[in-house]
Amino acid sequence: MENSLNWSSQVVIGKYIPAESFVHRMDPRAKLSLFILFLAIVSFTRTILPEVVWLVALFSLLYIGKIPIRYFFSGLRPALPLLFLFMLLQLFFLPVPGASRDWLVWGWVKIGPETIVLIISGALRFIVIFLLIQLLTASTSLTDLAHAFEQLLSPLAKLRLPVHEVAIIMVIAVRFVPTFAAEADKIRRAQAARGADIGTARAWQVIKRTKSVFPILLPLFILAINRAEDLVMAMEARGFVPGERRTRYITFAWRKRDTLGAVIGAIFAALMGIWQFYQ
Amino acid sequence: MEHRDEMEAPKSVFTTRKIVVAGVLSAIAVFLGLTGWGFVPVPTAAGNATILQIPAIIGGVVEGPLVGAVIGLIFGVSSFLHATVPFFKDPLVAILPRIFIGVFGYYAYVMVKRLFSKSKTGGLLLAIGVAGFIGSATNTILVLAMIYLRGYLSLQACASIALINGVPEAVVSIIITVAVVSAWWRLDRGRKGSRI
Repeated sequence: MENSLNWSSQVVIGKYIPAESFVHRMDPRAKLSLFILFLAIVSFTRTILPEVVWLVALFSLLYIGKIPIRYFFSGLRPALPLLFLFMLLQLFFLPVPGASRDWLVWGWVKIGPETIVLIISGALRFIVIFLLIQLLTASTSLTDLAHAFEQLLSPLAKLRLPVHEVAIIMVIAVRFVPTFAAEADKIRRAQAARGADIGTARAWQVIKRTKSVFPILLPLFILAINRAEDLVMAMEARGFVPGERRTRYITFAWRKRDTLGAVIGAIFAALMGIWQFYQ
Repeated sequence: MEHRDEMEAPKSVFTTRKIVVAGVLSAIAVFLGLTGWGFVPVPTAAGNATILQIPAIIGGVVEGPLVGAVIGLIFGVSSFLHATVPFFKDPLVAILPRIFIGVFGYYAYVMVKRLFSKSKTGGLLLAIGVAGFIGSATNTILVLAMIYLRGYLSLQACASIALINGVPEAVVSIIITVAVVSAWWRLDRGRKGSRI
């Protein structure tokens, strides 16, 4: 909180790392589709072995993508204590349906081999999904992702679903996060300078503690509203009409190797899906 | 300004205004989540109460259920991408329930406002507060229900987290939602001048 202008240096998860690599240059649409496919299949693993295979596959992609491994670990580090706490909680509080035998029974606590497998596979699944997200966001900028999202879902726009509008909302959101970070820092300094009451209430004084965030939060919201008013004016002045056909500034060129990558990825995902299903 | 787009036949369910407000409020939700400013240090099981659901509630109250749903979606995606808590790395837990925060908040607001249509500011403030409560409760209940359904924690554990975390979060949510929306609409809360 001390110097929030540098907030982006603290946030390692979801940071774009520019590099020249196959993974970086792959079409964002292909990457996003594969990401969603992989995610859907990983989410339903319940055993350890497929998850190890996933880990190996994703680490090799990290290597091909020239994304430093320490970047992945520095993102994972703050999550580790929570992960262990969570595993411990599950050990005691998670009833496993159909557990055949128990090594330890103590009150309502039952620990057996099924519990252990479930907990370890849960932790591994977390790490796999973590890696998957790092891989996508490190190799693709958020703006590219928003455009890829828009183009992938554009067939749905024919069903009068507001795909294009939601994509613009995403781009605006991504664009304004750094702006608000800088503004929030200014507000914090200004309020501290005029002696605003930030965080001095006792723990049980819920209402007073809540009000202690007002000096920063309320100006931030009001500022956001003013920005929004300006932006509405600017967009309408430039002839923006929601739902109207728009030409694109950013276009993606689909190359042969995108097809290759997508096909290999899809085959891998399908094989993993079949394997997991029959295990 | 609100009705300008409706003069021609609307081509979209969104107006420019709705798009921009949704984008800006989503940015606040993402920013608060990234920096950890979106947590009020009141005593709960997790050590603090989240206020990340509040932009979605405000969006729902001010610009309708659709805007609330989109802000919830973006908040959900962001919380999924940046989660360090294991079960939030599951899109069914992190994203799906969040879509409903602003939607339920909006309908709670509309219903209460209709009940108190005679009173001027008082009824409106009450309606905004109820929206803050319902939106926060939606977040708590649906997320924990998904955590239970996906088999991460037992029903008792989920229910006790819902009580210990959910109640302070709902209180915090009421206070902030009322404060922000009444500032946005310049409602008179019977107080002269600023205290901040």
